[in-house]
Amino acid sequence: MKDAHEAEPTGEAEEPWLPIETKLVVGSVIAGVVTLIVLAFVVHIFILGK
Amino acid sequence: MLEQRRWYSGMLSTEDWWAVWIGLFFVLLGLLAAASGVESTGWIVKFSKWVDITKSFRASHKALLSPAASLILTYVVFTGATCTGAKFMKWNVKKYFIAWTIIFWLTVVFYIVGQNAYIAATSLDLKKHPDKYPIAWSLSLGGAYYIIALFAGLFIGNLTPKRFRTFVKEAAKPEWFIKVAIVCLGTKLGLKAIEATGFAMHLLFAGCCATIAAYLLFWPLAYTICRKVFKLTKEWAACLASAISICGVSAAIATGGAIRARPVVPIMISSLVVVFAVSELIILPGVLTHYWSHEPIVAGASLGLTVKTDGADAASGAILDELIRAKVAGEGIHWDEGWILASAIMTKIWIDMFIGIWAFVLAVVWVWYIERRPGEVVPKSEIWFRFPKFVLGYFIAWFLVMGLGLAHILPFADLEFGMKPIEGSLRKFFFMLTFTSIGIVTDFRELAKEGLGRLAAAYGTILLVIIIPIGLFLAWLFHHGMMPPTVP
Repeated sequence: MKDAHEAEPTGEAEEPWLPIETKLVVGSVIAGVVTLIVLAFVVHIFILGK
Repeated sequence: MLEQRRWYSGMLSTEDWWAVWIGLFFVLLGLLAAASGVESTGWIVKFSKWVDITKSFRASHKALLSPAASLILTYVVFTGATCTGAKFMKWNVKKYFIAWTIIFWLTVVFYIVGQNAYIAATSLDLKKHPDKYPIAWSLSLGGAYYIIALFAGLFIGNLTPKRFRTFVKEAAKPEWFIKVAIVCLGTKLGLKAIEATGFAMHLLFAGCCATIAAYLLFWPLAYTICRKVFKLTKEWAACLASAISICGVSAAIATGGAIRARPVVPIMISSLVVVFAVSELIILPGVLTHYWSHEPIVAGASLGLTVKTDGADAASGAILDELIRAKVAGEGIHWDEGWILASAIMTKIWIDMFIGIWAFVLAVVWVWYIERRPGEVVPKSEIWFRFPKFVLGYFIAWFLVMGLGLAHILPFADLEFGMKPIEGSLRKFFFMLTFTSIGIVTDFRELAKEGLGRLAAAYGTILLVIIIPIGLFLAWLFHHGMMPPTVP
């Protein structure tokens, strides 16, 4: 069983933001934007543009 | 997460698989009717708009049974099917049976009330069928029965005596009911695709593209806001980001498993997901109908990207379908029923399918980078275990019906004869059961619990600032200009 304080969404001490988190977040957003542009292009050419 | 499991684990013990079995059982009954002409589905009760209450329901194939016999037979067969599932899933069958019976009959009442012509008939209905609807006015709220079921469910789940509402929750299974309905919805798309194969495939592809882009953008942005603005720990931030970005409860649980979060984390987040999804269900269809009725497929697809439970997404899609079609009918445009709903389901289906891959990616990222456990191997089988199995049922039903029709193995009229009661009457009744159940299991008191305030603030902020705006943009980008086929 968990204690009540363990169910709190934040810990006693704030967890520092790690450099790896920056890399993962930025990497995912860049991948998302690139994917967005490529797939939007594909959909416009083959579906919406028809 | 890494315990030994066989590929077939859970086939007889999980809601997900039992949605497939029950859904496909009814699909097979429909195919039997289509292939042999046997009345294996015509007995399913169908509810209609009414002025005279004796005409509020009847058998799907009218001449087959009396309305009362059809309703009772539907209760018996649906009870048998769901109780069988309950038994295999090792639920308390006796409690389930009684609670199910209460929910079933309450849902029947809500359905009948909501179909009253003064509430549900459109102006077109009154003009085209003056004999059937001899009334001077109506509210034209086509999908009002869903909202009535929802609010009645919310009343039961929040304001009835605790003993009663706790008991009824034994059979309030919105995710299960909606998954059965979605498997059956596959047959509807199959029938529609026979007539409009190109459009169905375009919808499928556009939905997939929108979902991939949404995954890669929603999650990191939501995670960053959780961590930087609301100062949540990595464990809470990852689970909440998945829940709000991907597919709600199942994403929170899958992510919790992937990053080895404490069990309390996905459970608390899941309660938030349900409450917010119900709020979206109430608000978004009306707003989208008001502002985006000229882009019906965009509006539908945006729901799939922004409403985070299968039940609430399909439910809001069904309301949107009714509201938009009723609105444009007044302008003389008659769109075929179900395509707006299909667009809402399509994006959600893709989101559900990718959860397995996303959970796998998160597990690898957490093991290799965040928690640094070099050498630990995440088996690829995790993708299969996280995969939502009801999606298989949906595609099997879709491609089976479409394939039999396009290959001319069964004539379209025969397929329609067998499948209409499944994709229409049965599916809509399971939608109604979902609405009643969502209301019953949604406990607004959860929001007041200690520790949930900050999570709720984070969830609401991300929903308003990230998910809804980007979801609307992505839905527009990948679907704009797509229009449902029209009917005479």
